Amino acid sequence: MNCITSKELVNEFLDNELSPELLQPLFSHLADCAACREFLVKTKTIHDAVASLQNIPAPAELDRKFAILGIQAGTVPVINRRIAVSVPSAILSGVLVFMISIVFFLALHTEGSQSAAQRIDPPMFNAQQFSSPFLLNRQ
Amino acid sequence: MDPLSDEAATVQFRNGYLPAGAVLYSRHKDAIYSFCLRMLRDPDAAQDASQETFLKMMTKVQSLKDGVAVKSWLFSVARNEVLMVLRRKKIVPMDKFEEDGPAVDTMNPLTMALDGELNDVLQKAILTLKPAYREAYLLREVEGLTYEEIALATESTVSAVKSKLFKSRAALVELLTPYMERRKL
Repeated sequence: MNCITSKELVNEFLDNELSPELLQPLFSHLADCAACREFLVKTKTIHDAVASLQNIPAPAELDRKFAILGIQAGTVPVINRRIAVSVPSAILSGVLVFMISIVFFLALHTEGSQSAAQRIDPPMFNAQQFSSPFLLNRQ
Repeated sequence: MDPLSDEAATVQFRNGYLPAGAVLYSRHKDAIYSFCLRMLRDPDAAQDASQETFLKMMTKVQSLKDGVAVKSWLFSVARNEVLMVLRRKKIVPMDKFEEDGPAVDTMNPLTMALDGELNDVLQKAILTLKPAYREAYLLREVEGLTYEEIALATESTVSAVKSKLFKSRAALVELLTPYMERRKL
């Protein structure tokens, strides 16, 4: 193994991405090569230091722009999955309730109209009555 | 309380449940903002890029394929926003956001100013990396993404990611060796 390959494998080793079968050849090379050992130590020092860098907090103004999500600056929302209900489900439920209400309303309205129609169904003035034999007889 | 995993929150958010989007936003906003800031070096531009990233999360979450981690998807969106800003500012030409020459930008004035506390020095040293290297390095070292996730986020390949990480680390070792020797690190 040459030094370039060794340094490439050092990177994968630090990232826990090195195949187990390559560990032995890498360590054999490191045992013999002071330059690669030094590269490993320095890279590891930087790797550990960079890994400890903290994320920079996003400005509160960003939170204000996402208030539509229910974000409040400085708070971390937590959802209990047992009570989580999706918006489409809620909308669908609302639409169903609305449609059922409409059906009930129409049913009641139609029934009411029919009653009213029945009440006025005998016409107050029916032209046929004048031509009926009954009326003629009465006259 | 049983906090949602990213996967469960993504599914609920895709179904239109806004509080699940709030969970994703709150969980990843600092990482996305930090990534944008470390790439762009400009707090206002970083805030704009972060804002665009989360707006896209709200409007395009439906396009997120099953099995893709929302974190790497957000970084991929943020990376595109960063790239657009860099191109707009003409820091990176359209066809040059790839591996090209040394990982460190030797014209960067920060290269000459590596002194002070370790954290400050590290931040400055990372800023001297060219954007194509810096993004891979930050996503791996700071955000802990796997090679595959970085490749996905940067529209690259795993072997290209390995190469960028190797060159970035080698460049940083070279850059920071005088400092480390002075400080006996």
